Amino acid sequence: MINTDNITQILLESLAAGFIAPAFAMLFAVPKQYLIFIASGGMLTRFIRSFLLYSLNVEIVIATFAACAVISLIFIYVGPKLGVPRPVFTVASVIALIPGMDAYNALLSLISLVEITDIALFDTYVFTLMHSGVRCVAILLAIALGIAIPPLFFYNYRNRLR
Amino acid sequence: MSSLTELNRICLDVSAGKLKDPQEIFHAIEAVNPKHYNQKLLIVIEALAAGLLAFLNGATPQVMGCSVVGGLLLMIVRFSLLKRGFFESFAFMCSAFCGSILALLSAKLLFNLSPEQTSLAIMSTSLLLVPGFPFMNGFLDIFKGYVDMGISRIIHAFVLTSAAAIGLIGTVFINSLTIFETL
Repeated sequence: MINTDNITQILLESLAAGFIAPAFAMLFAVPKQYLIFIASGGMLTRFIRSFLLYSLNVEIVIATFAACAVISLIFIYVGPKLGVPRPVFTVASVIALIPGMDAYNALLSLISLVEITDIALFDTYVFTLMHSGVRCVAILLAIALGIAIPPLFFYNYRNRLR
Repeated sequence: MSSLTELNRICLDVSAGKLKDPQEIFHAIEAVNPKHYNQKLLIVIEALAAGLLAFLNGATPQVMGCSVVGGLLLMIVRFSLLKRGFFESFAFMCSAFCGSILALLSAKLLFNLSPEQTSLAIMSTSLLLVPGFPFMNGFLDIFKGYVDMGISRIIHAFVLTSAAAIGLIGTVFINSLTIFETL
């Protein structure tokens, strides 16, 4: 049931994400002492998502949501202990999950629709636009909801009835 | 983010009772200064991150090299335009165009890559410009109940992303010119 062929790829992807997450955080002036937490968070998020996707064959959107929910839960515990707001860690950790290729293919199909006359080409472009575009939006939504939903169970926010 | 952590520290001190005098609290808030990392270090690190983003999308080492080169120019143009006071969206547009043009040229002229790999090099160079923090903070605000603030943050992030996409479209147009098919 668990497919172990891709374990090297999963580990290499986690290491890459472990470098990308602090690089992105440095762009937003995150203090130096928290970069190690962000690196571990990025590695863990990418590892969970790749493991669910390649080894357990879970669908990509659900795997992304699960990985982001796990990292959000971890930093709900770690953030207050360090006295740092949680988004500093969680947002930087999920950067490696953003769907680049899907967004690029959708953009390419969209602008190719500008000047075509062949109906068969039109069908191909619209198919790519819809498939890649909806996948990209779904993954982004899964990332955002995965980070935003777990704190709702632990904190009293404005919309709670007082 | 460094200002955010310092202000959070002040709030925690006030709620713990360490800072009581309003004048002290005011001076502590006034003393918070936005800090930045060394720009040259940031340029190199972000370029390497662009190469690794290409790797995450399934690239060969040559494509990663093209992305690193494109990422270097992208970050140089971005910081120089922002220092000169240009609007952020315009800076994103220009840096996306310049960075991905260099990635395209190095892919076609240096390594002679196939069209799919060229697309990968161009795309991963521009992935550096994704505004992750405004987008995520927008969603977090909506879920905390501050819908107006959240929507305005998401629209801001969408505008920045569209600016980067416009820069990318310029490169795609140049890639589709017939002169490149003969190279």
